[in-house]
Amino acid sequence: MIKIYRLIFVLVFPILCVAQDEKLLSSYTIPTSLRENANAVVRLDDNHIEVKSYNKMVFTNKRIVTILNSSGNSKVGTAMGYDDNISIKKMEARIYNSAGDEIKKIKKNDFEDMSAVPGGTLYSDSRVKYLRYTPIDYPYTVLFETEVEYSSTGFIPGWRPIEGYFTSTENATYKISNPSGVDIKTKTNNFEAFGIEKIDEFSFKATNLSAIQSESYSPDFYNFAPLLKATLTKFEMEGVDGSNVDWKDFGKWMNEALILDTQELPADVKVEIKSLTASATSDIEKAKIVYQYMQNKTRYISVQVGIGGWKPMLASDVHRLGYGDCKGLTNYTKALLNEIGVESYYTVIHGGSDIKDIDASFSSIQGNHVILALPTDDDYIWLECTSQTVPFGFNANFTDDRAALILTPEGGKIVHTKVYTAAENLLDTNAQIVLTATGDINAHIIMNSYGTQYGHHEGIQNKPLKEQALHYKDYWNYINNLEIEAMTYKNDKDSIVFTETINLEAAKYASKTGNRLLLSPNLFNVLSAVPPRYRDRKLPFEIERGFHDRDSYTISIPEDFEVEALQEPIHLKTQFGEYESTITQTSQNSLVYNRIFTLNKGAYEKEDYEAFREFWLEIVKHDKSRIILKSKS
Amino acid sequence: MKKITYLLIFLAYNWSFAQDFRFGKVSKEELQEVNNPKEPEANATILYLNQKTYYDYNADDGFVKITEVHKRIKIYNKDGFDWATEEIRVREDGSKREDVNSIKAITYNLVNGKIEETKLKKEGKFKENVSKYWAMEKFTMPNVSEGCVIEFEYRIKSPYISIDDMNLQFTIPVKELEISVRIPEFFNFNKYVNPRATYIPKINNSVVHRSETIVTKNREKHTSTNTNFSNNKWEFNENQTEIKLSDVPALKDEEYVSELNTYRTKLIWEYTYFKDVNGAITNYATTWDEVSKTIYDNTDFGAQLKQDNYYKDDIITLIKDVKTESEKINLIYDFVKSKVKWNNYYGYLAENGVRQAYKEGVGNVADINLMLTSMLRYANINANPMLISTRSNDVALYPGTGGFNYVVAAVEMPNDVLILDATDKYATANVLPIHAVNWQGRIVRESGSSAWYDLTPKEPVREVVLLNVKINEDLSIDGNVKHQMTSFAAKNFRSKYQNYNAEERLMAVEKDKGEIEVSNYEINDMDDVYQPISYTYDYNLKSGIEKIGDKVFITPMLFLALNENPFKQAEREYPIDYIYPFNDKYLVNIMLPEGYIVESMPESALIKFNDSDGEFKYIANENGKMLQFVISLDMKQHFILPDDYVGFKGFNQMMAEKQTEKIVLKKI
Repeated sequence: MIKIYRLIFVLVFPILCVAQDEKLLSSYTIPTSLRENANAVVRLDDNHIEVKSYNKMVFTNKRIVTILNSSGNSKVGTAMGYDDNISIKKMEARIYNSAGDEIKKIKKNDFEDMSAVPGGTLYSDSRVKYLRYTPIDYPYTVLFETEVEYSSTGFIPGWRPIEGYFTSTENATYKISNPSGVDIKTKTNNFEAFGIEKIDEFSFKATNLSAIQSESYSPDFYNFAPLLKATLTKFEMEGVDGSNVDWKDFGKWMNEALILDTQELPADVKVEIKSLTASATSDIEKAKIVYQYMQNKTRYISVQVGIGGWKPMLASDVHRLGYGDCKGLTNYTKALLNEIGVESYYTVIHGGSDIKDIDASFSSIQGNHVILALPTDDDYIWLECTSQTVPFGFNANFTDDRAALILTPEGGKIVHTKVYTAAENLLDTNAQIVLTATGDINAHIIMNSYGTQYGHHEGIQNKPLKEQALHYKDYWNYINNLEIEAMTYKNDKDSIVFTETINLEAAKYASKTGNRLLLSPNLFNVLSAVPPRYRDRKLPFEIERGFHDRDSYTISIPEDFEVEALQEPIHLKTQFGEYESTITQTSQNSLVYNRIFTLNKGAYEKEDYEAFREFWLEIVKHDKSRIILKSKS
Repeated sequence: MKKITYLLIFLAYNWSFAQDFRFGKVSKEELQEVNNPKEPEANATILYLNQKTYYDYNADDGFVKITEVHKRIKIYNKDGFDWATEEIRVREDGSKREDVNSIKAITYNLVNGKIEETKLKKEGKFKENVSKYWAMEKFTMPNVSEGCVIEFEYRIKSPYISIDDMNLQFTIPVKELEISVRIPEFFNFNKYVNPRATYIPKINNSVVHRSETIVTKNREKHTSTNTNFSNNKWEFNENQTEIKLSDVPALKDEEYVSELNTYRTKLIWEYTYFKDVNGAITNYATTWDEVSKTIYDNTDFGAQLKQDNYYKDDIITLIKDVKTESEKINLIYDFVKSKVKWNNYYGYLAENGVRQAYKEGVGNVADINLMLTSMLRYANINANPMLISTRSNDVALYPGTGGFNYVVAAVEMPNDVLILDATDKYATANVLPIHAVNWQGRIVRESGSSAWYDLTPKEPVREVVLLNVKINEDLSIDGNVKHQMTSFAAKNFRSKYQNYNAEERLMAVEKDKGEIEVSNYEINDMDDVYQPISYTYDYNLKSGIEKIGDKVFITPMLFLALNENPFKQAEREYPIDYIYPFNDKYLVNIMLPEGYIVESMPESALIKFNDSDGEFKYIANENGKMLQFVISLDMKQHFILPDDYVGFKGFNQMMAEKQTEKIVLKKI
């Protein structure tokens, strides 16, 4: 991964000092509207960036934050990341009680200093200075002033006038002064909706922005909250000059400065990979061989050094050591493909289960992950190079359906990664069930999962047996007395299908009342959790990925029982998706239950949320409805 | 001389085995092994672990602790790759620095029937300076592949006499393990195996003789400094501890185990006293009396209890009109809670000092609770500090202070002991933060006597729920709930809800209750910790009734029913700990709609676990249009042993089944 934490740090903290701030030090002066839903109030946040030259920049920040309760402590923001290219010139904090009286002053050398190596990374040179402070009482207010000098200018601190959920902002400003003569680009999102004032091209002001409460299914915070991005068109990163006019230009620089000189492979590897792929007939077939070779040869180890963590390890080192991070492994795979004449592009992307785009209309340092794009006639195949097991071309749940930057020899280009449609994300469950007169069941189940659902299911195969059995007991947690008799798996990596075959038993699955058995015919795919109710929903909502479940169960009922009541077929269709369930008696002692549920991908207005919730509630209701069987004797 | 002896022992030992564990002697058989024959699911296996700890002597530094580690690890598959990275934590406090050196590491792969070696070079070694006090030395092995064997050795030089816990068990199995510790007679340790471990190793103790030739420097200060050198032979004994184990099983994780490390087989070392060459002893604690004395003599402990001038006036004012002892205790307890806030640091020794903690309003556990103890004493309350080992820490078993990491105030009364912890605003007497409720605490009295005190809460934690249900003719339900909680349950509720706004509270109540709409939600006594907490709400429920044909089904406890057995695994390795005994009681009143009568009702029942360790009562009553249920669970035993697990699982199973039983109504 690329060092995202640094970007985050910098984004959070922005400068500058005015005199009339004294009243902001007291919590009594917070306007009522800013207390609502707030755990913390940003009273003042002045950010000033001075671009002295294309390779030197000073960032000054003054912030005053009132923390209203213990949940707000994380918004205090009294921390600053640094490394060899970011030096902290000034850092000071003062703490005030609720009345605004100063109770503590912390000077630069009194801040704690520690390494900021993120989890999953073996080494990086990032460090952080932060304030260790135990609040004595709430509310309290913190004044924090910093001045930081950057000798790498690839990244300019941006601005987030609202710093996240449950946080309001009283005054915030952002200003870039630019005596350097280098062109600066900026882009703002959602400024109008929040009434953010533009003072001049590079100066903005926000006042009295209320806190936003988090809500389920809402889009990424900065899809609707205000955000400013800025970047220099000419910059320096650790001694290397760079250019960023647009994505084409910036991508070209990345390709030439970061990638090109890292791809030389040792002679024996060249020979080896050529001979391995010699008999392959198509580029895709060759690429599959290379991908497999890379997966067998390497493992993921994250070491972040070299141009701010942006330059990959040498392909020859990855080969020799057998490890690398996303950049190193992707670049190594690319180098191998180059060798056999298969074209591929190093791709910068936001990796994560939440979908986040590289901003096509604004070229700057973005993303936290690197994958490889393999061009086909009219599309691309996406290769995740950090996993030793993922099938060739499978990128669901982490890098799917989003704008990414590919580095072509002609320059950078924004393309969209593979979209996994609802129909592709199929879970197909078939089962034969035998019910006894005491209500016990014995079932043989086959589940085939595809697309995103493949990703959710295939992990089970490498777990210890005990955990596998436990997994199914949790998966079907509404079935009491569940005992797994057998589990077998088939992982078809060519067609990307995962098959689970399970035999199980559950005593007293159907409940007995008098001479009747109550049986829920949807045994193995019950929707239960309901989206929460919002009395006054504020945010739009979205379903990032659709899916499609198909279930077909044959239930054989005991000899001396007959059907007393069955449900009518159900068919629900809304803009959110479709649900169908039927139960039919196919013979004296045999029932067939069929269920189809499709959830569509989509972005919706808040007004539609209640309808979405109702759709869900309806399904929950039908999924657990039961039929009555009656003893003949 | 010493080195030669070691070498001989080492060689003799290795030759008695079929396998060769000398560094570099990795065999083809090891490389060809596809899984661990005893634990075939293991992703990797430690083939050999050798750790030696001893104290080198030199005239300049005196004794210096050396630890040599040699590990050989087999990696079977990709999930075992994590074992190819080693991280060593070292202390670096000012000039007292630990140093890792002589790292030697090789990866072995079998390529076309031949063993291929890849050496670790500088590029794979890293040092992270984590903070002012410690650093991580890390290295990751080159050329790791499925089936490979990695081997490394390194040496840690340390100016600290004390010995860290030695792990004898890991999350992968160990085939052969050898530990050897040699300690000069001057340094005396208690050592014991983690009492919660399930795998018990055999330990061999012996005394060996050591002889050092030393150069003594005698500096005489007269008019000029005169240094005399002389060669002496110094004879003394060493206490040797040896552990040789084969096939140590992997430490297996399990549900409801918050900290796996709690159950790890490890050797715990506690430095107890230093005896100099003349026989003079500096005690760090060997008997409980010594522990008390040592602690009271420590300026960060005893002196902290004695100071009273900084709070005197405040306490005099605070309790001047108070007559009863319990009122005094509560007033002082509340006073400390509001006056000083916890900085999230454990410890039984004061960090800032009570005076400064009082002034600044911040302190660690000891600052706060020693201050509390001192104030209580000042008010003539019989208060003493009680040492505790937190749940994530080891269990303190033997006299010594190292096992403890926490301190609270204990007030001994004729029939009762009140345990007070002022670090948590929602804690009350004997209702401590969960991390402090661990096994037993040691009261250390001013007189020098000390005693164990069982920290297991004795009073059951009570929850009472009153659920009123009115079934409407359209089969929706209107009703209300009153839920009351005491002690730990109340404390947990207060902590969780303290910062929720009205809407978040409502959503928390509505969560997982189906198609429900809650209104008039009210919490009583949110901040008065001396009262039980209770909340009430009205609800409208659309999903509470199931109608099939002309029958209507309803579960008496509605959304409050436990409908799933939380225990799913067949058997357990480790106990289940509920921390405290508890008693939950549900009183349900159901009013039937017009036109319906009961066709069948769940039957009353009594289910027991282990005689009366657990008791579930279900009483059903039909009274015309009113149905009444009293359902209660009384868990007297909070600690379920692995041997009782199957029975306990069955008990929960029956409870879940009983709670999901339905009332059947039919139309008339």
